[in-house]
Amino acid sequence: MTTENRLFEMLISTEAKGDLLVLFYKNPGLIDTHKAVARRIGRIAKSIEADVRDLATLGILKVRQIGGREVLLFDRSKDRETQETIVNQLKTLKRGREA
Amino acid sequence: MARNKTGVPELDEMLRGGFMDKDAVMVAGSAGTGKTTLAMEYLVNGATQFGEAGIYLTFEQLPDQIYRDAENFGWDLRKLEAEDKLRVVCTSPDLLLEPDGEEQLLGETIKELRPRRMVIDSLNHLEMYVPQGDLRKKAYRILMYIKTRGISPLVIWEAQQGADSYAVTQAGMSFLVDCLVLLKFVEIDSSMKKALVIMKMRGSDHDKRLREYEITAHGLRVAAPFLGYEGIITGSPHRSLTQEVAGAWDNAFTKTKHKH
Repeated sequence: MTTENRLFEMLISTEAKGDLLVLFYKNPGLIDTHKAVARRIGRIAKSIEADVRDLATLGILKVRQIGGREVLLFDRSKDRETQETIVNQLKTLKRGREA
Repeated sequence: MARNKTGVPELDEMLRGGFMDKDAVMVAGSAGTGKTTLAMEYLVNGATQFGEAGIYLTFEQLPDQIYRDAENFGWDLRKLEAEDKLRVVCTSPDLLLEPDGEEQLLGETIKELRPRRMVIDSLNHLEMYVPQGDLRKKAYRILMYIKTRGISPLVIWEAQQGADSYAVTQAGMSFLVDCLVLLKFVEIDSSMKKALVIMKMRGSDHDKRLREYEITAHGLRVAAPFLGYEGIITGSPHRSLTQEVAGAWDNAFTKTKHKH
């Protein structure tokens, strides 16, 4: 499996990840605690822990400590890179289907 | 002396050229008076007309809502963000109040953008997280953090449209700022109007008159002063004695003319 494939699969692997991505795409300036971010997508902090970890591994989300609490923020430049990769991956998939 | 123009011509005229550079400004008013619109217009004009990048720090609305509302005034905030002229930052007030919270939340953005203007919407949100009496201390710390980075802060304060209209904030916050702009609903001749007044401006002359303003499709537009009325700020406007006398004379002459 290529790196692009892995990235793509990881991004669409869970519904919560999709919700997190939509939340941060729409609100790139959001900086908040796990708990508050979870609440904004109608979930609880524990249920998004693994998804946050995945997005942080990809570099889309950054995790920072403020006052002993973990805070999530969006990495705009990393996101631009990721989006380009996804677009290329979608184009490849489309070409593959057409061939 | 350097001034930060708001880009609202009549308001800049009232401020004798704009807010004083690095001064902390408070825009106070009750809900619906247009505080956020004025603050956003100040940032948008700074970015588009005066080459000054800005940060909008909000505790209430998500950026998505702010982008949408700004679109109604023709302000494309996403475009300004893409051009590194603006950042809309949304966070929880308690994070900002943590020791070093300002640096953790804003430090990186300040380094990237080198902003000259910043709006905090609003200080009232901090009030919910600090013990009574501590708000001024915390707000002072935040304002100093912003000012010492060469940024002019503008803070929003939601004031109650109450009886004691001269005390803008119950928490004594107006003491912390160098300039105070008050927005207020007033009832004149049985219709609701909006009034703007510069309550204070340290180290500068300014227009002391109450001016009518409107929120238009392009932002805030300041109109003529309320002439001939007294008691507007206290919430019981009445025509001034001079106007009453002038009116009475006018009336008397009209009646006399009709008799002849």
